[in-house]
Amino acid sequence: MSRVLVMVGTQKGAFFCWSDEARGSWRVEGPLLKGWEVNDLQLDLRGGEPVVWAAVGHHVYGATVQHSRDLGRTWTQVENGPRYAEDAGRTLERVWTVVPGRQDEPEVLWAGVAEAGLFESRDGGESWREVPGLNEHPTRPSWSPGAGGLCAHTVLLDPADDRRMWVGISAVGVFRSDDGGETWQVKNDGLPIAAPDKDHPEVGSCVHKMVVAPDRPSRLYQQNHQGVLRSDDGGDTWERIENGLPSRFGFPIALHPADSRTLYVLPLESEEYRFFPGGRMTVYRSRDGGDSWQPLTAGLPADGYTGVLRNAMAVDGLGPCGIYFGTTGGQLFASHDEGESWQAMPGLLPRIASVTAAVLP
Amino acid sequence: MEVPVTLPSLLADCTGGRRDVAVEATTLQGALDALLAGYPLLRPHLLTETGRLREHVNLFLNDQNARWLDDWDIELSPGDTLTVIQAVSGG
Repeated sequence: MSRVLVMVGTQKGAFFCWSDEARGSWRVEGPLLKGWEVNDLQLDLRGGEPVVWAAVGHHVYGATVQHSRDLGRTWTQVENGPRYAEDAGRTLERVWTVVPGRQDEPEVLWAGVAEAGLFESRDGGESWREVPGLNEHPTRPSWSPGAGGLCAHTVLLDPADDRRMWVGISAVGVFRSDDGGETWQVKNDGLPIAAPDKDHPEVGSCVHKMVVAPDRPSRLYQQNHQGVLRSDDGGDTWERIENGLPSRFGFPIALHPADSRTLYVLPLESEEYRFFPGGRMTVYRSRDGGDSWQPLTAGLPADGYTGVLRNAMAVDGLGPCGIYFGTTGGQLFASHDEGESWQAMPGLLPRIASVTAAVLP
Repeated sequence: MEVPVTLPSLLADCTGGRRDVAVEATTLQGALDALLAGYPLLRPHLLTETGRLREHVNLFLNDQNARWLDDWDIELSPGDTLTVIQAVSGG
């Protein structure tokens, strides 16, 4: 029987939640990486043996990448991790995400960071280099930080085209490369622009989280600061998909692993308040690619004056798929029936920054 | 001269699990250089990209905050100790 692992990154460490395929009961391990902010955890199975990559930081001691080769029991800090050059005039404030490369490139990893930038490793994480085509993009002088800083938080690889990838940067927008990361184009056509810049009015869209459909890679979805949007042409154009949502504002967005028309969002009450509207904790699911949305509340609290951060919702690969999200109040919720019903997972954790799920043999 | 250095527990993973280490040095700057040479994983946690001490990281020479010393090339004396400690902040 397969094992299900939900990896939870919090403000003060990581917690690994284990279950079987039924996902009815959970065993929680942690805190791992005790005391460190864990912004992302990714399971990398490309080399055969599992490696967990962690985007780790601390408000005093800075940001690094760590990895575990024994499913979280021990961790090793990458010695030559992402770091801006001394003369770059930039600071590595936070590693937001560490993304394993494609299946046929087991030594490749990508890291999205704040101050916004993309780093690449081609030696299994031993050393990292900046991706200048993005980090020195001609629009860079017009990039301005949002409330969460100037952060490159989302890195997506096209599952069909090994030269195409996307990066999402808060308060700047979507960038796409069609040549393996050498050059990058702004892909904000149709996205709301929060504060148009006079020199580069095409940037300034605050993408909060973005996903690509594995079975239809021209389709992207994003939760933006100012709405929920879909693209059917790889980001060339975007259209709003908010019919039935109580609010345009939210952070995470998750996609069903086998159905590119089924997706999940967690709307919050406006940028001013950032908790569930009226305290009614509700997941919204669309079965038609975002044309319509249905609220899902069974098992969720009606007094949930809390929020969910951009990396804190995930789906597993089982059928029916499991969905998981963690709140800024430190609670975890799980559904093992595609959102029809929910249960609170054990533990009251620190502020939850990230949730990822994986199925292990 | 062997100079004892005490680190916060959060950084002990960078020194093989030890909060107390020792470096060979004759000056304050030499001690910091030796610490980072012996334990390179500490570098991004203590220093910025430009080589300055991180804003909320304090390095104490005995009971003196090294941040306020004009010259880090000062000679160390037998019995001197170094302590890395985070500034009072956060929650």
